[in-house]
Amino acid sequence: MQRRSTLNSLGLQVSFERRAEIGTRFSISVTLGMLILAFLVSGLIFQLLGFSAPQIYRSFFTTLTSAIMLEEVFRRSTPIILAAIGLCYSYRMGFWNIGAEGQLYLGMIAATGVVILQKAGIGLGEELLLPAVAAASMLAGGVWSLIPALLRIKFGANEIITTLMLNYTAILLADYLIHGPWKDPAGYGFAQTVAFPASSKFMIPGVSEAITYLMIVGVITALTYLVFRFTVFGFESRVLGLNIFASRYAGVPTASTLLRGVFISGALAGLAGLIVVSGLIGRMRPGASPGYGYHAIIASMLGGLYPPAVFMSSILFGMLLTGGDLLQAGIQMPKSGVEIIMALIFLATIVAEFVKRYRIRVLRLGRGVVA
Amino acid sequence: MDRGAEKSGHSPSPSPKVEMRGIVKRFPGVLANDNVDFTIYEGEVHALLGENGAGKTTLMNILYGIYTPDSGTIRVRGVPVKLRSPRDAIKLGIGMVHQDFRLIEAHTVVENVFLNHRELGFVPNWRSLESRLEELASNYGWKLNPRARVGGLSPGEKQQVELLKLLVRGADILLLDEPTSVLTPIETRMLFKTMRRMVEDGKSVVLITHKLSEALSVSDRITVMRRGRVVLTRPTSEVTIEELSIAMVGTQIEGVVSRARGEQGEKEPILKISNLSVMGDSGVLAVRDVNLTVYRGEILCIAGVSGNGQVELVEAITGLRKPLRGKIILNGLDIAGASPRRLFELGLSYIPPEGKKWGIVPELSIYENVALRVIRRQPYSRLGMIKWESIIKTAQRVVTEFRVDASSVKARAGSLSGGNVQRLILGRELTTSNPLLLVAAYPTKGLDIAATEQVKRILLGLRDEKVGILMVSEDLDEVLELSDRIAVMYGGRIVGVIKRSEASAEVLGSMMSRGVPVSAAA
Ligand SMILES: Nc1ncnc2c1ncn2[C@@H]1O[C@H](COP(=O)(O)OP(=O)(O)OP(=O)(O)O)[C@@H](O)[C@H]1O
Ligand SMILES: [Mg+2]
Repeated sequence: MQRRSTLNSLGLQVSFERRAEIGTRFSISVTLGMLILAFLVSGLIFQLLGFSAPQIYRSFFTTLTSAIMLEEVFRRSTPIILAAIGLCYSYRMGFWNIGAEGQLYLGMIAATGVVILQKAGIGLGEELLLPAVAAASMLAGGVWSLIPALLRIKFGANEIITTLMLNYTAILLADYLIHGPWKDPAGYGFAQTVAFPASSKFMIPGVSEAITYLMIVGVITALTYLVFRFTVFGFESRVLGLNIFASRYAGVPTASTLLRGVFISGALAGLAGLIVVSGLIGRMRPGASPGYGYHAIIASMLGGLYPPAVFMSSILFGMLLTGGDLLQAGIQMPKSGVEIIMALIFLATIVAEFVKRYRIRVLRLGRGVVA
Repeated sequence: MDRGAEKSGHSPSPSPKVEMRGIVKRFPGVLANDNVDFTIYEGEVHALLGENGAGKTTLMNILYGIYTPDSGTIRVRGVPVKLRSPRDAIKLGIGMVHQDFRLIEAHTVVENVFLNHRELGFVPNWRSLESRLEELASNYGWKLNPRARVGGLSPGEKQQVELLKLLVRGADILLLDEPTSVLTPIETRMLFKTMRRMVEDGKSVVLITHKLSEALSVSDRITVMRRGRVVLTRPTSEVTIEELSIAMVGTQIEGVVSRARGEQGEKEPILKISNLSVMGDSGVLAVRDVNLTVYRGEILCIAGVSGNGQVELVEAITGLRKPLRGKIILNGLDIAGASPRRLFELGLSYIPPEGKKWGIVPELSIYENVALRVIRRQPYSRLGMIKWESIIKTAQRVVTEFRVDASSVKARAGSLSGGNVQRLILGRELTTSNPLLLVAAYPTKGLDIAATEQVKRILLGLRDEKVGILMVSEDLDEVLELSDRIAVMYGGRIVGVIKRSEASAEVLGSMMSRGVPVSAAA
């Protein structure tokens, strides 16, 4: 019911009590409040590090003021949205998958593999390249994510650890391929693979790249919302995540529901990987993803696993990344600067969850609580 | 029911230990406590009665600091207090045991008792804590092994652990929310003896119960609540059972259900269990070589002190636990190891024990909980798409027919009172299926008198419709009232199956507690 920790030396005592009820409006205000706090604190940190906080805030806002900037924000949000929406499937079932980054890399690898085959003349033909890379990347991400799910079902292995380990495996595999067998022979010695041809890109005629992506992720977000609201599968995944006993009683097929949900997570992360290599940077390179799979974890939590809110929080991360690039160029703020903000947002999300569940009180020792 | 120990019978001392005045608590759509006055004197057992949803638990939660009242005052030993958390309440010597146990099953008794306790320190001295615990327990005549895992304890023992948690924190005002609903008659008697011991030591006990006989036998004073208000507070010696039931529901409660039955046709087995063995959680055999048959149109009760394998047996039949060996034949089909969903489709309905754990998802709404078991069926879904309108319609039927007291079917199931959770589970199971076999574990647990009668009537009605009913209960009165045959379990075995006409509380009691077999007369 309650926990406590003592700060006796200060003559203070902090106690946490569980709240009986959590209102929706209260919940949203706490999250927004904590988010603002995270921004204020990061401003303070930058100020102390010798940067101008107002200038930093301004540059994040600039990303929203011009069409070109806004397109960049959307482009960079796209992989985050895909992976974050995917994570909703895992997290709603209580599967703490932190492997979106690895699944994203698998998507890149598979797509690149298909392109290399195509260039070598072994392929389905130019018109079918896009469906081929899409299918390959989703399949690869999905299958990669099934490994930890199966390990959990068969041996009860903790998915937090297995998914994390598989991230490193995937990234190392990608590095090996880029530096080794898949290195582009015409790449002037750079560690990179061949470029993705135009026919491998998502393109809607007459619409810009950013808008194309926005439409794709918009549809996926809406579908995910509908899946959780209106399908038996979505309902059963929620039940599985909320009460394992009741879900057994209700006859939810635990293993197959888990496998399906986790596969979708991985497939969407894989698709995110495809968009990175075919669209955002055009080819596979070391460090092709700046951590989109990790940003997605924070975004899905910040959005409370509610697809429209997850979409919005992912856009926030796109803004941060774009703004960070501006700052790097403008005031030589290191790239890790943005990561400080992201880490603080992550902390804020955790604190917000805590504040929603517990009432926090500080008491003076000796005074007691008796009014 | 006999009294655990003689009541002290002294008149209440003039200054009350706890005085609650004008307590109001409103939840969205319900006035749970409406201007309630409630006092607790030193050295008394105060019984708190009322129908499901009357506001008993809410009132006690307020006194325990879980909820803050919208208005009203609380004085403890004459001093006005503001209780903002259970911590504040514990400091004032107020302790509560909830309707559903709040223990960590994977931890031991001593770990549970001293969890979050001041004396635990950074490196706990388990030895000394264990000996303190043993001393305290033996004080009340309890035989608890401090190192036993709580998960393996019987409900009666878990209750003792909950009480010990309060006692080591120096609680002298104990609030017990339906403590007897999971206990056997023997365990209940022991608890009452303990309660009388406690009040002799000057402690005070509030006892919430739905059994009027219990209230009359153990309490010094009785308060009855109805729809959030107190309608009666009086010394126990000055009330009759009729007055109490009129106060609770407004009218006389209808007499006992008639169990008269229609013509008895030839016996047709619906469930046949042979040589069934099932492993328990702790890795020892919980069910040993059980043979049992349930016929269409009969109620077979499994009686036994809890922890003798009843739950494991039921879980094996309902597909929640894989049997080690043996056969379970439902309507001619071997179902050993089949999934709960398949069994439900085959006509096996199941009312699980521990409703809040197994039966509902508290975070979901009432109508989503109604969907739990039937979501894959038409008309509730088609081709994987849910039809919420038809689920809501069924939910409304469940709520009306089983009188689930809720502001709307959109309310969270977790906000329902204990008895209303049970009504929801029963209502869902019986409205959404046409069972061949109904397995019911403690079906009347937590229900008030009227609802208990209703459930009994429903069970007898199903029996008359040729449904086979396998019921688990520790309430001997109920067992004797409803069953056609009674199978007694002891140490994982069926030690005897007797006809109701040959059974009595004495015979059953001795079989349950000593496992002495009586020659079966099937
Ligand atoms: N947290 C809550 N949120 C909303 N409504 C609540 C909450 N807790 C209780 N209620 C409502 O308040 C009323 C009184 O509930 P309470 O639990 O006090 O009843 P009770 O007398 O203990 O009943 P029972 O015998 O069934 O346990 C019920 O209508 C219940 O639905
Ligand atoms: Mg209650």
